[in-house]
Formats: sequence, C-alpha cells, structure tokens
Amino acid sequence: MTDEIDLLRRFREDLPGPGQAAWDRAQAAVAEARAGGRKARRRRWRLPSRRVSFALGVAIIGAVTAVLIAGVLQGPPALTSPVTTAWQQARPLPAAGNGVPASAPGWRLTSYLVSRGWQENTAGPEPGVLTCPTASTCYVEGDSATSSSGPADMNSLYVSTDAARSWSVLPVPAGVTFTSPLACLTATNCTAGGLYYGSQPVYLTTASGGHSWTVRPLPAGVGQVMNLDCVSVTTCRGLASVSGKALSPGFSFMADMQFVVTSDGGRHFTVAPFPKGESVQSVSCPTAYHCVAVGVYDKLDSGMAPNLDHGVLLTSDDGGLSWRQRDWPAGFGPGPTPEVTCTDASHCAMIGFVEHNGTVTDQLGGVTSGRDAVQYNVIGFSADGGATWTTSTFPRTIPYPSIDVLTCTTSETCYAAGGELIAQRIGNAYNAESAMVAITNDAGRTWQRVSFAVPASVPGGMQGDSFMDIGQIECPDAHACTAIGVSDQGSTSTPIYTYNGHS
Amino acid sequence: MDGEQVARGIEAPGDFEVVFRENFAQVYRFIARRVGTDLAEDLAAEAFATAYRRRGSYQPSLGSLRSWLYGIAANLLRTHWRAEQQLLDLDARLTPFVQEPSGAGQFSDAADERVTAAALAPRIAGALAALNRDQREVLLMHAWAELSHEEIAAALRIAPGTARSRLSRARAALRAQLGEFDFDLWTFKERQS
Repeated sequence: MTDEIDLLRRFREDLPGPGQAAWDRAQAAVAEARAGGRKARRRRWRLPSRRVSFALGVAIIGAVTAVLIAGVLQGPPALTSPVTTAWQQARPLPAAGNGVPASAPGWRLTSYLVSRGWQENTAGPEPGVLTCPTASTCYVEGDSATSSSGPADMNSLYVSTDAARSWSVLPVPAGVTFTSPLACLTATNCTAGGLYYGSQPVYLTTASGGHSWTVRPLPAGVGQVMNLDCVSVTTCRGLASVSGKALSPGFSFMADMQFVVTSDGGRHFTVAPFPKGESVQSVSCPTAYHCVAVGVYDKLDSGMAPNLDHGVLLTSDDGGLSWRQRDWPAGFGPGPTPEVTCTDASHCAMIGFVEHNGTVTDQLGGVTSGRDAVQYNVIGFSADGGATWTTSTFPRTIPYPSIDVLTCTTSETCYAAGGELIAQRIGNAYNAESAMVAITNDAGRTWQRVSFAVPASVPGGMQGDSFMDIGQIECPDAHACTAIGVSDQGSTSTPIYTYNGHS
Repeated sequence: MDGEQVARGIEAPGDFEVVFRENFAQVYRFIARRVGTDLAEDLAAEAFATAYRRRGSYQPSLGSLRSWLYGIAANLLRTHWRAEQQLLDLDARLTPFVQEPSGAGQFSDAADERVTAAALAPRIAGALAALNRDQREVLLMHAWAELSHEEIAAALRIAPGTARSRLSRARAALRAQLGEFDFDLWTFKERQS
C-alpha cells in the first residue's frame, strides 16, 4: 500500500548521482585528511628525541619546535584556587508583550525568554533549567552556543525578579558551564555545579543573585556535580558523576553517579557511592537523615539503552552515607526521566513510565505501532518514606502524557508538567502534542489539567516544539508556580508560564 | 563490507576505501536532494573527509555504518538549512500546483506515476518547507536514506523511541500539509474547509 513516504521518495528522485568531478573532489578531500593525520603525528613525536644530538643549530630548532608543540598540546586552563568575579550588572532582555490567560484560573503564558541559540539537547541536562527560590525571583540556565550539533553548553544565566514577566542576562564567569540546576537558599544565595573550560569540575556560589560568583575547584574524586540541594549557605548535598559521561547515547542519564555532601561551602566533600551497577539519577532528602533515590541499571539493552521498565530504588536514613535497596514498584518503570520528590520523611512522589506493544493514533492521523509503541507516564506515591508505592494514572482528558518534571508543595499537592497527545497548529507547522500541567490536591486520587493555547503570534525564531512540552516547573509555594517550555533545536525563545493562585 | 570487518571498525585506511566506494554515491544523492547539486559536491566531500578523520570514533555497537555516515551528513546539512529551505521554497514556486483531472486514475504504470509526481513536486516541496527542521530531518532520513527508526536514532544520537515518535509526528504533519492524497487516483483531493 502506498503512503506519504512513497510520495516523498519520488520527490527529486530523478536527481543524478555524483559525477566524476564529485568523486574526484571527495577522494581529494579524504586524501587531504589522511595526509593531515600523518603530518600531525610526525610533528608531535619525532622531532624532540631523534635530533637532539645533532648540530647546535638543529638542536635549537628542535627546542623551539618542542616549545611550540608543548603550547599546542597544552590542555585547557585549570583552576588551582577559588576565584571571585567582580560584580556585574545584568543586561535586560527585550520585553515580549502581554501575557495570555490559560485554560485554568490563575495560569498565564506570561512571557517569552528570548535568547540566542537555544538548542535541543542530545545529552546532558535539558536546556532552560529553571530555579525559582521565591514566587517573584526565577533563574534559568540556558545555552548560548551557536553550535548546531552536540550537547548544549549551559553557559548562560537569566534572571527575573518580577514573577517571570521580564528577564535579564546575568554574567557567567569566563570558561564556566553549569552542570547542575541552581540550588538557591534565598532569592540571592545560590549554588551550582559546573565545569571550567569544559573539563575541570567546579563549585559555584553567589550571594548577590548571580551578579558575582565564586568559582572553586572541586576536590579530586567528587566528580561533576549534577544536582544539589542546600539546607544552609555552606551545607549542600546532591549527585555527582565521577566520569561526567552519559550512560548511553540519546538519553540524559549520567553514568558513575555518587552522593556528595559538603558542609563548608564546597571546600571538602563526603562521598558515598551507590551500589555497583546502579545509576541513580534523582535523589530527594526531605530531612537531614532521610533520603530517597531513583535511577536505572547500568546494563544496556542491546547496547543502546538502559532498562526503562524496571529501575533502581534506594532509601537512606543516615543522610545519604549508606543506602538500602528497595523493591522497585510494580506497574511502572523509571522511564527516560526518573525523578523523585519528597515533601517530608513519609510522603514522596515519583515519575513512572509505562510502555507496551500496541498502536497509538494521534489527532492528525499519525500512527505509531509495534513493540513498546504505547508509552505514557504515571505518578507513583509513597506514604511510608519510599518503601512502598501506589500508582496514580492520569485521567483520559490527558491522553498519553509525557511528564518531564514533577514537583510537590505538600504531601497532597503535586504539579506534573510535560506534554500530552493533543494536536495543535503553530504557524505553518502541525504538532501532535501540546504543553500541559496536571495538578493533584489529593495525592494523585484526582488530577486537574491545565492546557496552554498557542497565541496567534509568537516571537520570531520560536518553533513549534517550544509549545509541545513543558520542561521545568517550580512552585516556591503551593499557590505560585513558574514553568518553562522545552525549546526546539534552533529556536531562539521559549514560553514562560506562571500560576498565581493568590490572585 | 562484510560483518566481521564492520564489527572491528574502519580504522585501517584500506577499510575506509571500501566504505567510501560503497557509500559515497548514496550519501551524495541524499545531500543533493536536500540542498542541490552545487552544494552537494562540497558537503559530500566534507562528510567523507570528516568520516575519515573520525573513523576511530565509529563504534559498531552503537549503530550501523550507514547511520554513522548519515549522522555526519546531517550535522553538515544543519549548517546549511537556509539553503535547503530556499531550495524548497523555490521548488514550491516553480510551477503552480495543477490539480489532476478526475481521469488521473488512468496513470497506473510507474512511468506515468513519475510524471505525475513531478507535477506534484511543488506541492510536496511546499509541504516539506512547512515542516520544522527536526521533523524534516527524520522524515528524509527515513524516506531518502531508508534508515530504520533505530538507525535514525543512532544517526541523530536520540533515543529510538524519540526517533519513532518524531517520525510518526513528521508523517502526520506531512499528511496534514499535503491535504488528502488519493493513492488510487494518484492525485490530491482538497480537504473541505
């Protein structure tokens, strides 16, 4: 049976193959690449040792060459002691106009965060990592790189101090990229993990709301900090990846994770490894002693992906220094975005993932069928500190939810944000999904859905995917939330949604 | 290349020669169909020079050789998306779309289908131009490079599930852009507004 793919295969089908000139050109390019490789090896390894006993002139040339080679081979700059940057002004971004009310009272599409070069990620953290320490102050880590491929560099920082209505660009210390979301104790005291010139793990602190930063090299063995939670200005704990490598291509899972704690502002760390073969991706410590961690097993199915249907569940009662293995709950897996959040020592929630064979038809007539074609998220709830879990399934009004983020403000109230399979048209493009927030006020027994219609006009450079999904949501209190859309590859802006239940 | 050779990689220059001979024409055509023959000569040459330089990084366990090569080509094409867009816009404007008469069903053999497809090209170009870049990329990798979901995932370094759903959405979006196409009559039927 013919279909649109057959039609497409005939489009420009008669275009000729490569002529002799194209073959010659390519062969020359490969030959050049080959010759370049040989030259490089010769320069690097032969000159210093073989010619050192020759005439003085030759020795001098050799020495000069060796110095040049050393310069070329020198790695990126390294930080040996803490550096504090000078206070710098933030640069306001253009305002994006009036907001648009959403389907539920209190929710608005408030603004757009417009920056250069938002990139869809293929590895590492999501672009546009949001942190809101208060209802009025939010930070977003973003990527200003213009690279068209590869993982995003989280080397930009944006701030809003008026409940996400307007945004400014804050300075980021030279050579620094963020590897964790900001962990903010107050509106101005924040901490994050980072990399210095792409290779050296560092610990970043600010007491001025991001106008000035102290960058501290991390002690050996801590690794790349991926996630932090601070209980005081100096005491923080979280997850770090020893290798800083992704577990597998195409997923944001990090490999070689361990639990790290500092009580002196990043000078020293206590490191607690997780059981071998387990990659914890999310941890929540609602008290000083109790922690719950979820993740995936290191072993990859078919060498490609970890098992998304059965995950790793651990609890700790000594502040993360030792971990107890728990049975993974029946009925769902960790999925591609495992996340756990606890509001007290008893009450926790986590994103669960369900997949099975079948067929999914979207509203545009697109059909996905076959092995594990049916995929959606559920939410797991625990009332005994993460030991046992019950499954909360979303109502049919939220078809095939794809939940990216979960946050709970009380033991009963949680916000799950992501996308649902409801079609929409954006400009000239059709998308099968829409951004959505689901809210429960009774620990998952019932859910309310908030959807966001796409405005008639959106800022230039914004592509459809920016409205398909919500990537981050932060609720600094039970009645005030801010959420940010997932931006598409090449999109230069992303929508910001707010909820003010006080109004 | 035989399976054993692929499994051990393509680091030896001799192995790479085989890879080049066997794949250059297809990769060139894929690039040419997307950005035109002028740019294709440069980009295809650059793709294989890049492949040669990075041949040590090719890991057979992470995907097929074809997917690795098309991944390199896709990376190069991304920096030329404006050229691709301009070419599609140009194709879409070259000749106005001509609705086939109701007797178009008589076109039944392959040659006639090709003639009709050429007549429909502006409409297809317009539909492709309206897709976002992610959708177009997976769609053309599937339709023109004939990569499977898994190969597309490996080429673009995304999860297989993501490739599958992205392709599904792209197909749906293409259908929506095209309106209804009757494969029996081999012509478009406009949707009732």
